[in-house]
Amino acid sequence: MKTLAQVMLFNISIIFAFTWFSGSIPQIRSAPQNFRPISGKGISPESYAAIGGSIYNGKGTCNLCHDRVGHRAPILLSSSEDGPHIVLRAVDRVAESGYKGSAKNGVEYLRESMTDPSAYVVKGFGKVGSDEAKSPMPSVVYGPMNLSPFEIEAIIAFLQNSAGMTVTAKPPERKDETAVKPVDTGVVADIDSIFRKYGCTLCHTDPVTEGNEDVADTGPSLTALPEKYINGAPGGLSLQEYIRQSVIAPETYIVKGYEKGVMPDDFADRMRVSELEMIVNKLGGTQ
Amino acid sequence: MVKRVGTDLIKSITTLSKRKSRTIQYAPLARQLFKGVLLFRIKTSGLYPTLLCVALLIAFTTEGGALASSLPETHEGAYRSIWGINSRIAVWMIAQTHLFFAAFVLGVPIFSFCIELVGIITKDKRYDAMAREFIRISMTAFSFTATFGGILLILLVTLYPDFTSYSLKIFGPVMIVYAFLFIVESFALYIYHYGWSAMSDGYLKWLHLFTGLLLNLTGTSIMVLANSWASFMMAPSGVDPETGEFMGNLWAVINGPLWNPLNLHRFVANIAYGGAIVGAYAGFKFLTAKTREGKAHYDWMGHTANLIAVIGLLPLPFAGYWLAKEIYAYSQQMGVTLMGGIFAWVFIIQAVLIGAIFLGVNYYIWVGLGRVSGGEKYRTAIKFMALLLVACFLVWFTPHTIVMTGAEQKTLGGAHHPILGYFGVMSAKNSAVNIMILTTFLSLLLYQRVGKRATASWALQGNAVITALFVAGAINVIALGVYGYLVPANVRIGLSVPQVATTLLVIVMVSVINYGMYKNPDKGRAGPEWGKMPVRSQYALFLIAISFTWLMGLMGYVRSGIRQQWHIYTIMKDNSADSFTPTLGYAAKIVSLNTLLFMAMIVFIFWLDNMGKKRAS
Repeated sequence: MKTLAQVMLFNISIIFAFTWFSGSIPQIRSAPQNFRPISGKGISPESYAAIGGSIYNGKGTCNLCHDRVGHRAPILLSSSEDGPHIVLRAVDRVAESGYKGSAKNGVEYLRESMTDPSAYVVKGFGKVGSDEAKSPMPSVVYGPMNLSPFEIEAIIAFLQNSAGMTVTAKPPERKDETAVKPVDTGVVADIDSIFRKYGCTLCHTDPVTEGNEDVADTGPSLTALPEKYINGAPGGLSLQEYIRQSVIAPETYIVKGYEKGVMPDDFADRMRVSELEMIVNKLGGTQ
Repeated sequence: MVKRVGTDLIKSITTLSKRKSRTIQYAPLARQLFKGVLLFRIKTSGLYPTLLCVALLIAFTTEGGALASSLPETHEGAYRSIWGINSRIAVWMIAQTHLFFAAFVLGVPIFSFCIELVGIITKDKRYDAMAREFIRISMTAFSFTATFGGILLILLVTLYPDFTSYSLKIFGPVMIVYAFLFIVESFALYIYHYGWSAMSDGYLKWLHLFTGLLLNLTGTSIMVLANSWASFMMAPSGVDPETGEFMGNLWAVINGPLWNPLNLHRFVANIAYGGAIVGAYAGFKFLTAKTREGKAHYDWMGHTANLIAVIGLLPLPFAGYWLAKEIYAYSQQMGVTLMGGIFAWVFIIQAVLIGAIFLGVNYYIWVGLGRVSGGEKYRTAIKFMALLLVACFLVWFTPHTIVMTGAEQKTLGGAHHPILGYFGVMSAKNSAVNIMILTTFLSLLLYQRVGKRATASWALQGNAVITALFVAGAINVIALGVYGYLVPANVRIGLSVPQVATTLLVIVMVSVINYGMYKNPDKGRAGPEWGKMPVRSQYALFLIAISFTWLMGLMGYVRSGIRQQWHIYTIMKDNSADSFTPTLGYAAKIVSLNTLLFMAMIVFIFWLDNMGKKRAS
């Protein structure tokens, strides 16, 4: 029995050591990528490019491979051994004799590169074993990225902006986004899940989820609202009433410094009353 | 508890019937089926295939033809929870426990069969007795494997009905074969175990060995079939990438891009894992043995089990590398998420675990040199080998990039340090792993040689060639690792092939030369003095078993985790509240809890075995 106790103590110590070590290194929790139901009404080119930047570095995961150090895919955002900035390169590429894609100009080439990456494979970056006929990049329309036309155009806007050029990419009309359906994720049990379900944290810094600094400036911060509106919310509303109004009718009051028409206005149709009340209680400090 | 779970199963089936049925009354059918399951539950091992058949029946009858399946629409109530228990944790823990047991019971018969064969060829009864003891230990574990498999199936049907329904429809015919093989495996196992004494002589012994072969063939077939489900979830094939609709070729579904790498990786790992667990058993028995004979027997068993673990361990990194390479080839995004994204730090923990295993394995071999007269002359070499292992461990331990928060990354201007760039690239880590493998192989070589003298006339030249091969191999492996820092990632990833080839070449050539040198050795000194091992050496066996179990749990988390928010990557999205990827610390706690539970059950199995032996004697 003594031996058994010694052996078990030894084993538990090892397990404890592994657990402790795993907990002591940097912890990252990866939130799922959400459908981004942003409306394009009245959005400025700069804001649109900023949204594109957050998609480029976030949901689109473009920077994982189009990166100078890893260099798994051509460098896009600056001049390099792969050529000038991608926006300039795109114009030259469609004019190349070897180009077999269907794009007629630089913007179309950028779009085609995202939706059909194998239409033109940059030399040296083909899929192993395909003799440079296939690109290892998946189409951004399907699979894990699942970008909507709005998001693809936003990335083009971001690329144009990063090249110092006039942003010509515009949000497509709402009807163009019908291919992307909002996902009803069923009943959710906690505020964290609700924030993820409706993609709130894509644009707002919130008091629950960490690590959204990259996109926090697209919408006002949601942290410490009770302290911020200690003397009452805009429009003479109580904080709870103001939060409720901001979710279901966001155009009623626009916080200074933020764009009109960015926040979707259909939460009243999509959100459950219980979910709205959980948000109101959490942000309003009553929970 | 059984009643509650059964009620949930009925509810689940009834819900399915309400949703999709037009003509058949499924609720009464479900009740009948569930009663049937309970009545049919004569033996635990019969429960699993029975439940599988029930699940298949549900899947096949709920919607049109079985093979014309497409993705179910996500809807309210697609996810459930029982008694407030988190569904993901429940499925995670039960699936992992099932896999721990499955790995053990698939690995043990492989080397039990090999040892029995060695016993027949050498006519040494000790081998036969040991092979039999290995199988006896794993007998109860078979029941545990089946039980946890059954619980897993119930949980999947109950908690994730849409996912399970879709999977069952796609893999329906495969699961029928799976259930059939499970029954054949049970027959083979019972004959193999219970017929050991009755089939011990003449042609019956060969028939017994054939039963062992059948046991292994069915066991391995079961594993590869189950692997096709796991690999389909990671890299679906044979279905429409947009709708998930089955395209009509079941082989294309099974033979996905990750199926064979996963098969090889698990096959090799099971052998190593089986060796590690049996080693721990032998270690414990050694510590509690009261007689000199008992200590000698379990020392020998521990040594053999450690040897089996090493044989499985040496090719394991190569099999793992192939799997990772195919993941990259299938989806670069998935590959980068695995190695350079949020899972990058997992490989630092993996380095700690594999470092612990390599150190444990080598330490046990080095201490084992003390069993044989003449082993002390290697003491100086052992010190250098220990230092080498630690140095390799530190190289492997170095992360590829710094893990940063979004704000830190923004400040730094990217995922890499602006001046230093990346740190531990894969080619450098591969160098470390290959050197560790070569060092372990050298330890084995020294152990094999101790107490013997080469009689070949060219022994001196042979030793010189062996030394040259080790040195040249190490230089090549290290040089390629350093070169990896100077070339782009797509070139660097290809460097592992010559690194692996170098190591394998050294191992094969040295083995051949060494065999020639020691074909008829002069055994001037006495052989190993079994039982002459210090207590601390047995703790190395426990370290190996625990590290292996924990490592399997961790890598299970990674393999599933790289799908991120997908049940089936790019085909079926996880829309549950648990679709986020948990932190490493959180995963580590689950893995630890799982390891503790598994170890507790293994101790229980060993205790049962001990009790049975006492009763028999």
